[in-house]
Amino acid sequence: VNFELDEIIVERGVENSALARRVIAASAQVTCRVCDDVRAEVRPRADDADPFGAGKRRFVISRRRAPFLMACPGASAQFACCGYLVAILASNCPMDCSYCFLQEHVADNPAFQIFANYPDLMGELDAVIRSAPSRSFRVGTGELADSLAFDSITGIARDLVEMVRERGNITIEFKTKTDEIDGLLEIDPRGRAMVSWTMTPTAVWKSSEHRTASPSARIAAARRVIDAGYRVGFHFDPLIAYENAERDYSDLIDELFDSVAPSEIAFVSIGGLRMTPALKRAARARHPNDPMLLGEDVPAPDGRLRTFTPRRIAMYRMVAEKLRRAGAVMPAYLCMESQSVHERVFGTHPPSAAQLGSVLATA
Amino acid sequence: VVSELGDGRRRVTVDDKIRALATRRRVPDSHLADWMAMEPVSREAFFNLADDLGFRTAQLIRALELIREIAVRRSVAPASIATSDELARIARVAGSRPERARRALDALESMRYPMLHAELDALRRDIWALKLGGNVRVGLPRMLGSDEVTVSISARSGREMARAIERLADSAAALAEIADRVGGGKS
Repeated sequence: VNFELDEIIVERGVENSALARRVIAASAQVTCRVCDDVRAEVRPRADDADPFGAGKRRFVISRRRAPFLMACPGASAQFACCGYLVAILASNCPMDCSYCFLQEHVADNPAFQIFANYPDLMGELDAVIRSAPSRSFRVGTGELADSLAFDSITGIARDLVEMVRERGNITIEFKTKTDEIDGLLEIDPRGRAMVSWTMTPTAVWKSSEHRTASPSARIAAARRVIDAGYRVGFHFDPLIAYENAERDYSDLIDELFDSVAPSEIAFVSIGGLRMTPALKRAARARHPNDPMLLGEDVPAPDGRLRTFTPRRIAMYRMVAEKLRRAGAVMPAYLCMESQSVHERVFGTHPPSAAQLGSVLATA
Repeated sequence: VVSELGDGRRRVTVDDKIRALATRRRVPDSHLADWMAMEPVSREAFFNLADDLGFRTAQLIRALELIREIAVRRSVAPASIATSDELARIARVAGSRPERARRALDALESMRYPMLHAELDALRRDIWALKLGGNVRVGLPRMLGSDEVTVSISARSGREMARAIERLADSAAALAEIADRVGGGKS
């Protein structure tokens, strides 16, 4: 996947970091400058017609002042959760999915930022390991950015694998919609790294997931990382309930299993498209002609707009049933759904977040 | 498009009429902008619909949102929704203007949420068929936004209460099926 950049901006103090040197060397054709006030550079620019979209083309390398590691921001007592930890190594994303929550979440600082001091994450991970030596943790880097977008020029994923594979109890997850996996193929993860892909049918990819790799390319990339020793996961999230969605998701699962055996999959997550009203307004304003944003969504008890319940749960069950029929024994879980929905889909009480987290980290 | 009459006076265009209606109805600027962003045929068709039916402010705003969304869902121009047979039929039927406006809005909601409305209609029909009596109410979640079905009984005597509970007990299996349907099927 190739992304266009308008400029590269480097915060003074990190211009000699390994990350800055790599990015600048790999982007000779892009204007590059050093700045003193990075906060001003990441803000939306008033003269941009689409400040969020323009921010995606402004590559800012800076130093992160806040901790890198945090509990998954989607976690809530309302939901049956998976004990996920997220590492914020970057913010915003060069791809442009019409439903992306970043359109609301980073609307006030839309530049594409990468943090040059990312090796400091290891100190935070060590503290987590020391605090609960008997637990296993899954740490994802794809919360505020795609884990592998630009990895061919940043090389961050390879560095992280090198750092994490020496540690027990931690599995790092690269969550992506790209096929930028070449950096990962150069290193043996020794069981400590996994790559996961959002799985969407071609109709959703074409309509909503701009500048991402095609579903087939994602599956092909998954095959290659499995062969290189990585574990893989798949996120059927967001499931989008459009006309013929059941048929398309069913075909997609068939296509996946043509290349990847169920026994080679560490886990599957399932979740429906959910948007706050503010996100929906932002998304509709930027993507007014995307019908995928206009499903039969209604206000849910958590205040988000979701596909009306019988249809949404029927879709979850269709995916879960399809996986089960294929003989899949991998753990599957629902993201940002209640315990009662979990019970309706899987017929069992959901495990605790800590239990599920450990299972997913070691699956 | 501004056109001049021969004597120098300005012709009143559809856009002028739209702006006047928006002012009269206090339509928010953002919605007026959405309206004016439609291609001319569609904005005129929606004006005619709104004018015919005498939409109140909230109705006008909701109808505009629905028509735009239905058009994207169906990949058609908003004009084809505003001039659809179904809406034309409602605009022609006897009855008060407010009643016709309400029915037109209901029709638009059904076009926008076809599966939801079909599911709600089927559930209501099946609940009604249970003949649970006037003092037993089966509450479906608003717009089927959750999986929680409620049953409430109002009774003014022990006898009324006992009868209502008896009727509920007789319908237990059917009510359980309704609760399962709201939750996407039997687990």
